[in-house]
Amino acid sequence: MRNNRSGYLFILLSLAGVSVFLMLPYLDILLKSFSTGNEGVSIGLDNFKQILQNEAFRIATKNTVRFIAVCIPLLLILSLAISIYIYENPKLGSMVKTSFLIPMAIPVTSVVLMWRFLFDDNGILNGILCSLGFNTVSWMNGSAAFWILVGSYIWKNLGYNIILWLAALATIDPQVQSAAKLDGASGFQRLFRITLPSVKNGTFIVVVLAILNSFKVFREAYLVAGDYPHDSIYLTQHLFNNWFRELELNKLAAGAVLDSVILIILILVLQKCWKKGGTKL
Amino acid sequence: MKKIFALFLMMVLVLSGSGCAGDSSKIKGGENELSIYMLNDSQTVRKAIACYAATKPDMKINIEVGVPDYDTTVSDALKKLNTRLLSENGPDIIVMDDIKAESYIESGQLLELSNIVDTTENLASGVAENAKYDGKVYTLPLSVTLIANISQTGASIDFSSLGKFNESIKAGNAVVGSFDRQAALWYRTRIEPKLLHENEITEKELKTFYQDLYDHMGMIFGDDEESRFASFQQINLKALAGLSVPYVFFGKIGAAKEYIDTLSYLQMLCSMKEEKGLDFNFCQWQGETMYIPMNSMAISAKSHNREEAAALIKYLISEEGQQQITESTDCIPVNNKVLRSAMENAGKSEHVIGEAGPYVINPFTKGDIDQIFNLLNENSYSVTTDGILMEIIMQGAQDYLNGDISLDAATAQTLKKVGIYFAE
Repeated sequence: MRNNRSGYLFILLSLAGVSVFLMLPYLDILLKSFSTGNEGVSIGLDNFKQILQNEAFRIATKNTVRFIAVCIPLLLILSLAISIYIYENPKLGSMVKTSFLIPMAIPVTSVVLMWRFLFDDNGILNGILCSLGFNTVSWMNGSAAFWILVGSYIWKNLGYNIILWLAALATIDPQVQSAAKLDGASGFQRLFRITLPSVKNGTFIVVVLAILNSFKVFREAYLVAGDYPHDSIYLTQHLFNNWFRELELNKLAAGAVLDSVILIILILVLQKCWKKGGTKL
Repeated sequence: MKKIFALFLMMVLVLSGSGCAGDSSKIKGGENELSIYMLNDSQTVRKAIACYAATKPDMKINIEVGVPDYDTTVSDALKKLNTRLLSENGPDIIVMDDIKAESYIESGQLLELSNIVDTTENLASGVAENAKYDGKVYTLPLSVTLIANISQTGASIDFSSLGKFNESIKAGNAVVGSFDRQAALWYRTRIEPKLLHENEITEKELKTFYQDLYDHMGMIFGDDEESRFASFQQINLKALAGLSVPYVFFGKIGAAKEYIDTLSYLQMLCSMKEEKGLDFNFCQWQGETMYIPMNSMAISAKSHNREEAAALIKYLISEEGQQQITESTDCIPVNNKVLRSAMENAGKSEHVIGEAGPYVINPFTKGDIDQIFNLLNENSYSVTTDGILMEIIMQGAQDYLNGDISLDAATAQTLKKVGIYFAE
């Protein structure tokens, strides 16, 4: 009972903050998504029908899904590979860890400035291409923009994911690895028989956090390319931002509710999959 | 414990909920305070407000500018404005120049001004009619800017499209000037009306516009490489007059489109035509003469001081207010009586025009006065610019003209962006 009480007290303030600053506005958005105009006249699912038929919403959703589908597996595999390397080579570990964590500490504005220096039509990369006798590339105005965004996301989030994987790897009993080595297990066998099954517990949280962080890449895309970037990096946040500018609040509310429902379903499905795999979350 | 916990949470929610629904009129703003927001700084608005302030010494009027420098985009400024309006902490009056009024009207952010129009005498009927949205007036301009096609006397200049204009300039071995302003003028008079009416532009039309702008850039006077650089920031695209009228008259350039935003500039134009130094006509769209409503005032529906805001607008479009504004800013007023009187009383005056030296401007003729009077009181076309759309189109032009991307790429990208903009 005493444990329960201190538990409640610990989460009380945080929960109150979440309720006031997140749940209440979300409730307001939920109500707005089913209504129209300033008077809030209820119109059922009309806002949802309208946005599902909206071409801009379709493009933005397609790009966002594509971005997540490309980024998340790449990030998970890369960060896991590096964290296993660090785990197995602890002497190099701190240096490698630090080098991957530095991007997290760089403010978005500096990242954007760096992007501009590098990828501007008259930027460093085009300068190099030009000096080598190649044609210049319009990095942010062509299909390259998508891959630049992917690269930026992975570069910025790799360190964070490495830390998460390392925390999961730390739970593996070193004696198990040593015993496997003594039994003559190859590195490959140890990876698939011991390491990966052991970190399965942490995978769910790493995936969910990676998906949530992927939405933050909008800041870079927006600051570099504005409201209407190349169509391959026009994300749902661009659309919501533009709807806010045009005061299309009911559409904005319906879009936000739809996105949150999709995200919640995705997280629940992931949770179910992990539970089915017999993992405690 | 669970019950106490749940009760506490409920209390927090109820308290914050009731806080959100509190009486917004108590947030700020006394009865003697008005705030006015404009996207781009306008000296005419500042002077007009100063005229009103002189009649109300107790009134404190704050003026805010949304895009004060090159670093702020129109979009950022509008989002900031929207945030303030939605949190009921917005300005009392919004100057709607370069802001798409429809979004604000449809979302109920503006108050209806029809009663002000109905009770104001001598307001130019064409201007009042064009200010209507679904039969109601929400924005009222204080003045107008005309758009003139000017050419040297006897020169055969075709203003029907930028391509034909370029050809006729080339044929006459003439040059043009002030590229950014000319590009914006051609956009406002040939591209934007089509975009706003048909909600689309074809690939061929856009490509032709960009290619014609490229050709036009090659005709600007002087061989300075730097002058052949497109810089279409919002600040460079404002509807402000340059020096095209004297430049054409003194033969420095062959022809130009030009904003005519003051009565003295209009008088100079008419006088120079009278002297057979140049030819001009006002731009038309589908048979209607174009003008730009300037310094369009609207009242925020969330204004904390609606009555004073309405009183200010009523004063500024009244005969007395228009007289004051015209005297202090030299703008072209929307009040018939003030317009006619200002034009009739504009006497001979001497102006020093750069290197050309002094030039004596003759008074308006009766024909000039009637022409302007009719323009504002008959069917005419009101040019309302959507700043965001203009930014998209001109950004594509800038990328192509400065050699950053090919014509095909600039056209394709801009079309996609325009498509997304209209789909939103």
